[in-house]
Amino acid sequence: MNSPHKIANHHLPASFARWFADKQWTPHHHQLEMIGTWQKGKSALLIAPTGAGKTLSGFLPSLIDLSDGTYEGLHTLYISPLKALATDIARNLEAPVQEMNLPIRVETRTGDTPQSRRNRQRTTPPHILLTTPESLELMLGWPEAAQIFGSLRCLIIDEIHALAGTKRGDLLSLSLAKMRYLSARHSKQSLQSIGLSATVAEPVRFASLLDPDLAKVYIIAPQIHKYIHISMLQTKADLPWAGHSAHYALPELYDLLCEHSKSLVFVNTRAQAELLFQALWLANEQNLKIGLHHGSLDVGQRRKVEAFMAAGKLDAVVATSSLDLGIDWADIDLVVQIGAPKGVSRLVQRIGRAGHRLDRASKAVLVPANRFEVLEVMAAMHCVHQQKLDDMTDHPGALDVLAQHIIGCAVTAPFDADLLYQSITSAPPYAALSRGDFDDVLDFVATGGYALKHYEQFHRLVKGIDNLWRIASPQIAQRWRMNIGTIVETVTMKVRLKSGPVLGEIEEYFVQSLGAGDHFIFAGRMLEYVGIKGNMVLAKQSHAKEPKVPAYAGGRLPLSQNLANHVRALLQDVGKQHDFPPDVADWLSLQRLRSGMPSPDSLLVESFKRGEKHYLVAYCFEGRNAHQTLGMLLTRRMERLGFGPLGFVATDYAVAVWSVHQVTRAEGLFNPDLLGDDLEEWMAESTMLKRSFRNVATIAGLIEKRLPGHEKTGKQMTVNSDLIYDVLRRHQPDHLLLRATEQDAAKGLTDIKRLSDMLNRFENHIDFWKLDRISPLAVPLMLEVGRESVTASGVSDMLAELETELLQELHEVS
Amino acid sequence: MSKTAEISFHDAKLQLNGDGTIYWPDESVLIVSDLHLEKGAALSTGAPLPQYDTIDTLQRLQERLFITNPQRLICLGDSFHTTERAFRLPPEHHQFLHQIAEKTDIIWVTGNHDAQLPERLPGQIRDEIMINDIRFCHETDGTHHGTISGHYHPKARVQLRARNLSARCFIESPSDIIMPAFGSYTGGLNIHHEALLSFLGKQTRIHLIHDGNSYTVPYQKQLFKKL
Repeated sequence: MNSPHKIANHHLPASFARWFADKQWTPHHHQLEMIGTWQKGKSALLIAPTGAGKTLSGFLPSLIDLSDGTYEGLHTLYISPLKALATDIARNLEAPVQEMNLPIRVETRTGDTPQSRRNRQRTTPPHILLTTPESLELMLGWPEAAQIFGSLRCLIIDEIHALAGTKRGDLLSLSLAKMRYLSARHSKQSLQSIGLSATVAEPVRFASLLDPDLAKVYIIAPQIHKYIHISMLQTKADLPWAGHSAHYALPELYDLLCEHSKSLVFVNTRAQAELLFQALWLANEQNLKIGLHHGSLDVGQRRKVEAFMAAGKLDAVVATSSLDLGIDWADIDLVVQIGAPKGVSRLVQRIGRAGHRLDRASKAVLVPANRFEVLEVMAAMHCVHQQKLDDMTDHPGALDVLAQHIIGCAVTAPFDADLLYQSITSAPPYAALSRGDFDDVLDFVATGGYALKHYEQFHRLVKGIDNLWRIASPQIAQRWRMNIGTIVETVTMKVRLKSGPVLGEIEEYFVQSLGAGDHFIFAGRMLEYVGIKGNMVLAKQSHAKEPKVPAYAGGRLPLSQNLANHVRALLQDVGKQHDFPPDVADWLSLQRLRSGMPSPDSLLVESFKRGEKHYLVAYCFEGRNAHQTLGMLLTRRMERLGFGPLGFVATDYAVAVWSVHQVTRAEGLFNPDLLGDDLEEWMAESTMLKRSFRNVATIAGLIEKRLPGHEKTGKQMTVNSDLIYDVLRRHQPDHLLLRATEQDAAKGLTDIKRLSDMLNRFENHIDFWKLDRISPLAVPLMLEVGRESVTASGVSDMLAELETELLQELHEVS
Repeated sequence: MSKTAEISFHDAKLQLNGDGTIYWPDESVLIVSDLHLEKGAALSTGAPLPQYDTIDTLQRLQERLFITNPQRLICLGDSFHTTERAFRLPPEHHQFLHQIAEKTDIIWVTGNHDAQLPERLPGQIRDEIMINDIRFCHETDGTHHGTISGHYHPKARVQLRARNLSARCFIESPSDIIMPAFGSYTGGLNIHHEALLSFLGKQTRIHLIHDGNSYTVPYQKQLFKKL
C-alpha cells in the first residue's frame, strides 16, 4: 500500500481543463490524484463522503484515455450495487461526453435492458459499460466473454462498501477472478481498478477486491472536513419507556420540517415509515408536501417520489434504507433519524445525505423512540464525532454462492478442476478455501453430493474423458441464467385496491396474520383487508382511526457490536459529565440504587417476581438476533433444569425469560455449553434455520427462485424447501447445504458467533442480582412482553388449549 | 405418549394418529395415504434433490407398523409419485417393501399418480376395497356414505395467540374421512380450497396433526385461515 502524498498532481489535458473552466469548476485535489495514479499504472481506492465529486473522479481517467478516439472494444466496466444508480450515472456521463464532444459510447446493461441492445453489446460492446454484479456474472457466461473482457482496461466498483462482506460481494469477487482468468490470454495491457467508497473504518479490506496484489492499490482519502452538525431532538413530552413510533416527538419533529426546505426522514422499518407518514399527514397544518419511500412500494411510485424530490417538488420524504445508497439529490438541508441508529457507519452514510455539497454543513437530528434508544443515540453521536466507525467482520466466502458460480463456469466453457480451484482461491473471500471444501461443492454441483448414489441420470455436470467438467444438458445453462444472483426475495403478494390500482407488495407472512375486516396501513393509506384473489391481496380504503394490525417486520438490523460497546461504556459513566435527558438520568440513577449497572467486564443478570411469574433478565447488548437465539437456548435449558419456563422476549439490549419457578443463581445457565446439544436440537426445528436453508438452496440452484407471475402450478410440482430440510437433516446432517446454512445462520439470523463470543467473555463474570421487585432497567422489557415469543413445546400446549376451549364451548351449546 | 384421536365412524372405532395414519384395531388394519414414494427422484430434472424421501417415508411407516402390528396395511393410492418411478424402484426400496410384507398383507389401492402398478410389488393391487360397510378408495366420489380416502392432502392453518400454525389434518365429515398425505415430500391443500368445501359443515371435525400428536377441533369457518 502506498501513501497518496507521494503522487504529484498531474495536469488535465487541455480539452478537459477548458471544460472545467467553462463550468467554473476547479478540479479537486483527489480528482487529479486519481489521474496521476492511473497514469502510473496503479489501481486506486477513493474514500470520500458524498458530494465530493466521487463519480467524476472515477471516470476521469477513462474519459481521458478514450478521448483520442483510437480505442476499440470495451475499455471500462462500471459496477454498481443498484440498477437505478447505473442508469443515473449513465445520465451524468452524458454531460462531459457531449460537451467535450468525446468519441465515446456509454451504455448500461441491467436486467431491464431490452434484448436487442443486449445482443448488440455482445457483438459490438460499448467503450464504457455500466452494470450490476448479477449482470456481469451473466455476461461472463457468454462464449465470447474472453474476447469482450480481454480488451478491458479499467474496472470501476461504486459503493464498494455496500458490497464487501455480503454474498453479493462474494459473487462479485468470484466474477472478477473469472474475468481476470478468462481475459489473461487476450489482454495486452494489464487491468487497473478503481473503487469508490463512502467513509469506512478499514479501507484496506476492500482493496483486495480491486487487485489481488495490494501493492498495486493506492488509497486516496482526501482530508475533507465536512462539518457535521448533529444533535438529539429535545421534546416537551417525556421519553417513552418502550415502543418504536416516536410519536411523542411529533410536534417538535413537525416544526423542524417546517423550518427546513428539504428534509429526509429516515426510519428503520417499513412499518415505522407507514405509521410516521400517516401521523405527519394528520399533523400537517402547513400543508407541507411529504412523500413516502420504502422497498415494498410499487417501483413506479418510488420513481415518482424520487423524481419529485429531485425536482424540488417535495418538502420532506419519509424513507427506509431504500434511500441509503446514493442517487444524487442536491439541496437536502436536514436529515432526521427516527429510532435507534443501530450502527455508526450507517448513520454516517445517512447523515451524509444532507448538504450534499462539500461547502455545506450536514445537519442531522436524532430522535430516540424510547429510553434505551436514548443511550444508543448518545453513544452513536459520540462515535460519529470520534470517527469510531463499525468494524467489518471477516467471513469466509459463502459456499452456496460458489456452487452457483461453478455452474456458471461450466456454462462458459468446459473446465479443469485444478485450474478452477486456483482461479477461485485468487478471489479474496475464497483465499482460504480448502481443496476438500472445493471438491465438496463441485460434487454437490455435479451430482447433488448425497451419500445415497443410485440416481446417475440427474447429474448437472459430467466429466469427459478429457478430464474436463461440462454441463450435462443445455437446460442446465438456461436454468442457471434464470436463477442467477444472491438476493432471494421473501415471498410477497401484490396489494390491490378493490377496482383500483396495485399499491405495492407485502410479505406473505404478514398477510397470513390478517383476517377479513382487519385494518392495516400500507402505501400511506389506511386499508381494510377484504380477501385474497389469485395471488393478490384485495383491500379497500378505510376510515378506521387505529389499525388493528399495525406492524409488519422487515429491514430490522441488529445493534452493531461497536455501538453496543459504547453503550456499555456510557452506562458505566452514569452520574458523570454526560448530559442525559432528565428523565433518563433519573431512570439510570434509580437502577444504580436498586440493582447493578451493565458494564463492559461483566454480564448483569437480574431475577425477580412479578405477578405469578418469575423473571430472569440478562442485559447482554448483543443485538436482537443473538438475544433471540439466547432466549431459545435458555428456555430449553431451564425446561430441563425444571424451572418451567413459559416464554421469553428479546430486544436489542436484553433478553427476559419468565418461568414458574425462580432462578436463584446464574451458574449453569449462561455457560458456553449452551451452544452444544441444545443448539443442535433447536437448529433441527428452527423456522429461522429453515428460512436460511431456503435461501441457500435457492442460491446453490437446488430449488428455483419463485419469480413474479410464475406461481406454482398444481400442488405437486415442487417440493417445499422446509420438507427437504427436515429429510436432509435426518439422513445426511453434514451435507454441504446444511453446512452452508449453519455458516449463514452463525452470522445472520441467529448470530451464534456473537452469542458465543459473549458467553465465553463473561463465563465466571456474571453479576447476578436477586431482587424483591422489578428493576428500572427491566421495565421497558416488561412492556414488550405482550408480544410474546413461544417455544416449540408452547405450540403443542396452545393446540391442546384450543382443543379444550372449543370442546367446552361445544358442550355448553348442546 | 403421543395423542391420538379416537372416533367412531360408521360403526367402526378408529384411531386417528398424529403421524397421519388410521388404525382400526377391531379389524387389525392400518391405513395410510399418499406416500408419493420416489417424488424426490421424479422431480430431480433440473437439479438433483436429496432422494432420501422414499427411505424416510418407509421408515416412518415402519415405526407405526411396529407399534400397531396390523394384519393388513392399506395404502390409499398415490403410493408412488409416478407410475414410471414405481416400475423403476431401486432394489433396496423393493427389499424394504418385502420386509414389511413378511408381517403384513399390503393392499395397494391405485391412485391418479400411480394408476398402473408393477405386478412384482409384494401384496395385492386394487382399485378400491370394502371392509364391513366402509369403502376405501383414493379419491371419494361422494356416492358412498362411509368412505375413507386420500388424494387431497388436506392441511389447515389456525391462529394460535400471536402465531399461525399450518398443519396437515384429517377432515372428518358424516360421510367421509379425508386423510392427510404421509409422504415426506408431499405438500398440502388448504381445507378452504374450493375442492374441499363440500366436506366442511357443522358436523365436520378437523383433526390437526402436529409433532406426532393429533388435536381435534370442530370445524368453524372463522377459526381456520385461507392462506
